[in-house]
Amino acid sequence: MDTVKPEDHEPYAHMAEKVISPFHYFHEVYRDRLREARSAQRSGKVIVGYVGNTVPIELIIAAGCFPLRVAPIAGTTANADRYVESFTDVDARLIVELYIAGELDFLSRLVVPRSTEAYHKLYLSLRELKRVGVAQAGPEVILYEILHTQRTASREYGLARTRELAKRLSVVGGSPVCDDSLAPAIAASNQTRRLLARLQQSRRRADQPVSGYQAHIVTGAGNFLGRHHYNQLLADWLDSPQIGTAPGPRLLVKGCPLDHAYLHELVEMAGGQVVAEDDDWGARAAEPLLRTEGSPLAAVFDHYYSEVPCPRTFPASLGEQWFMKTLQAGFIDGVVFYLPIPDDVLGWDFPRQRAAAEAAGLTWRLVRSDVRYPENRPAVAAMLGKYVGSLQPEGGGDKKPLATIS
Amino acid sequence: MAAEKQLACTLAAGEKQKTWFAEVRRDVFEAGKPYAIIQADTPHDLFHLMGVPVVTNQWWAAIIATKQLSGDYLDGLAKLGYHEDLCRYCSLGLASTLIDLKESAPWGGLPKPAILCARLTCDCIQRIFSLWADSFGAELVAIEAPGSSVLPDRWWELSRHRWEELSEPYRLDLMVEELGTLVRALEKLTDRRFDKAKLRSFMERVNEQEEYFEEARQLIARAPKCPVRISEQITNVMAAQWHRGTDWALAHARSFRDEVGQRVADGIAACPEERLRLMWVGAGLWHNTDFYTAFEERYGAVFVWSMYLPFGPDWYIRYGLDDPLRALASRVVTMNEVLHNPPYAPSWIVKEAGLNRIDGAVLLMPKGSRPSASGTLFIASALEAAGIPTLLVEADMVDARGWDNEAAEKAMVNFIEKRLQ
Repeated sequence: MDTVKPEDHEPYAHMAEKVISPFHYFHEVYRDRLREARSAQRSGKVIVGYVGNTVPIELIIAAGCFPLRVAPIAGTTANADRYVESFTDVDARLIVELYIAGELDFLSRLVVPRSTEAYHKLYLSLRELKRVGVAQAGPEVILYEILHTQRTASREYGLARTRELAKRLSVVGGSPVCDDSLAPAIAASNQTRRLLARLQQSRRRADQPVSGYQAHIVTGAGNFLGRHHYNQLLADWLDSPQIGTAPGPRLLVKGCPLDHAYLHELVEMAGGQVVAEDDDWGARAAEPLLRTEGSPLAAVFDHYYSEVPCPRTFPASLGEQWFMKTLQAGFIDGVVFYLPIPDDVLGWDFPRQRAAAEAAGLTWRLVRSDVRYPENRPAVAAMLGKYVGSLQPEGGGDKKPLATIS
Repeated sequence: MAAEKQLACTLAAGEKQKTWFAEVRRDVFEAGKPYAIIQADTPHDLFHLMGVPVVTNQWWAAIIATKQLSGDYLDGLAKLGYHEDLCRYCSLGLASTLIDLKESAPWGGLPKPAILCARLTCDCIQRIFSLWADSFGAELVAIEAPGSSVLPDRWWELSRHRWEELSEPYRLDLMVEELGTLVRALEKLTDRRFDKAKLRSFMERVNEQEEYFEEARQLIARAPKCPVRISEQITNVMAAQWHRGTDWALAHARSFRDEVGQRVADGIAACPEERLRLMWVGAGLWHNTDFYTAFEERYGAVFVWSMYLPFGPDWYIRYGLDDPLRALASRVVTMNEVLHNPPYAPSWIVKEAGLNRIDGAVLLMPKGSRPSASGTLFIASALEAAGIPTLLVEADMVDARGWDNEAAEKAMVNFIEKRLQ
């Protein structure tokens, strides 16, 4: 398969039309993910792209640059597939494709973190493509090394790499990354998190909660907008009368980060609501706040080193704390484990996490199909329909945690 | 039918593995001695130096696969809820602990180790080893695997004498610290003191061992026809590598060198009808090593090269051992990148193809072991650019369940007839 969902977001169109205009704007930004950055670049702004959720964007902001998360979810992979194996994570294949095609040439730099092995391979692949001349231009790719044990040596190492990144970005942006420039960047990030925390609360309202689909789009759009602009838009949207949705069984999604909204849509079509996701595209984007005491650079580093979701955090129990706490929080009716092919990592955690859900008195379902592909959706929709039905108060019936879709 | 063993060394290496493992089991069960389960890319040297026998995860997986037990274990993992797309090569050992095959367990099965050790390379390895350590109730020492951004493509020109230049100084510093963490764990376990001078002399012995392999490698590459099939190269080399630096390993490496040299001097070829020279790129096809000889009779197509022999001298040798721990760290820090990733792996394999007069390359693409498979297309691309035809074989190195021998042989026949003849 060399094309990932060519029709892009068309299935969402009927939902976007129902909602108010500011949401439509978020939706457009979410759909056309390079749009705002391209526009900013045309206005003279220096754009620094980054991959994943462990690159400290506060450094990019402090350097006077526009941080753009490079997170394509659709498009051809025909050129990339000549160099990157088909079982590689889809986002990495799509990024390689964009890089080869010159679609990322408007970036001044592309920062790739070592928050997954796939991203390190991505870094090596992009470097090689340029070395052998397959990618003619393409921004310089910077590896941002972040380690994963919580040993002192690992922390010191990561802090040193963060200082180096700050220096490099200072040159790129022309503004020094220092305490004075970092403090407002941290304040802006914390403002985003406070606003997103409000959004999370509104998802859990008993009456007319904000839908999981809406919340996901609005949260995700922040990755593609300038920070201050986003904060203003988000604050305005939260203050405006939002179109809530009918309450239904409340689901927690655990597994591969959802950089698309298809699963949310399927859950809502089934009559349920995704009220939390254990990933940075959803509920985890709202917390925790960055520390505001002490060294700003250290505060930024510590946040990305040990507080954001990362599959390499060691020991894994540290990264599972949020999930374990949320299982017990009382606002969850069931859990959907989303481990689509080609997951080869998070499946190791599944039996243990499944047991934790059951111990919390919750049923669960496992989805192994990638629902970004239209052909996979009907089976998943049918499974979710039954599952959500089983969670309705009057539904009774199916409480056996056994279904697997693949 | 399995090809006959042509070297006396091969039989000795196989026997050594069995008797050594039986000794480990006896020492653990009867004398309560500690042993370790560790990843192939960890510094075995420190364990040997501190007197802790090691079972290498990948070696154990190969044993399981050779005994055709991988299906039973992997089916068992699936029943426990671990889905079928998880890495198999590194998890087969874990499976052999979680699933009790009773008397079918290979060589009686793994006893409880005192310690496990893994580098945090791919994202799954910390999970596999954590589960494994938990299931045994044993300590896990995890070693960081910092990512490389200095990428010397002709790394083999630096690795022996200029190893400081192979990676960023700060990565090397970190790896020295990481090895220190392991040393402290081993000191605690054994109640012995780590001695840097002893490590230096141990690494000198490893160098000597790899020098024998260097000679054997050159003999094989330059012989008119390949004197040793790769399955026998691998058995001899890896038996010694897992025990590297020990008296047995040195003696065995020397014997292997001598036997190869004698065969070359006597004009003996593994396959006298050799007409095509093939290289096998990737891990061994442990569940079906007969595949390597399946094309000799009909086409004179002989697999003459795999990474296992030449990688030893090119990567393990470290001269200049004033700081032996730093030298050891330089070997550990970039091991996976060198074996699999661009630019290291493609440039090295193209170089090896030239040295060995390779006509065609067969590349293993194990989708069920992504860390091993990543980078394969860059290698294929580099080989093709160098004029070496390539064939990708999608198969797992240890999981025979998806292996279609007929289809694989058909692909090989097509490759030989269409691109090599």
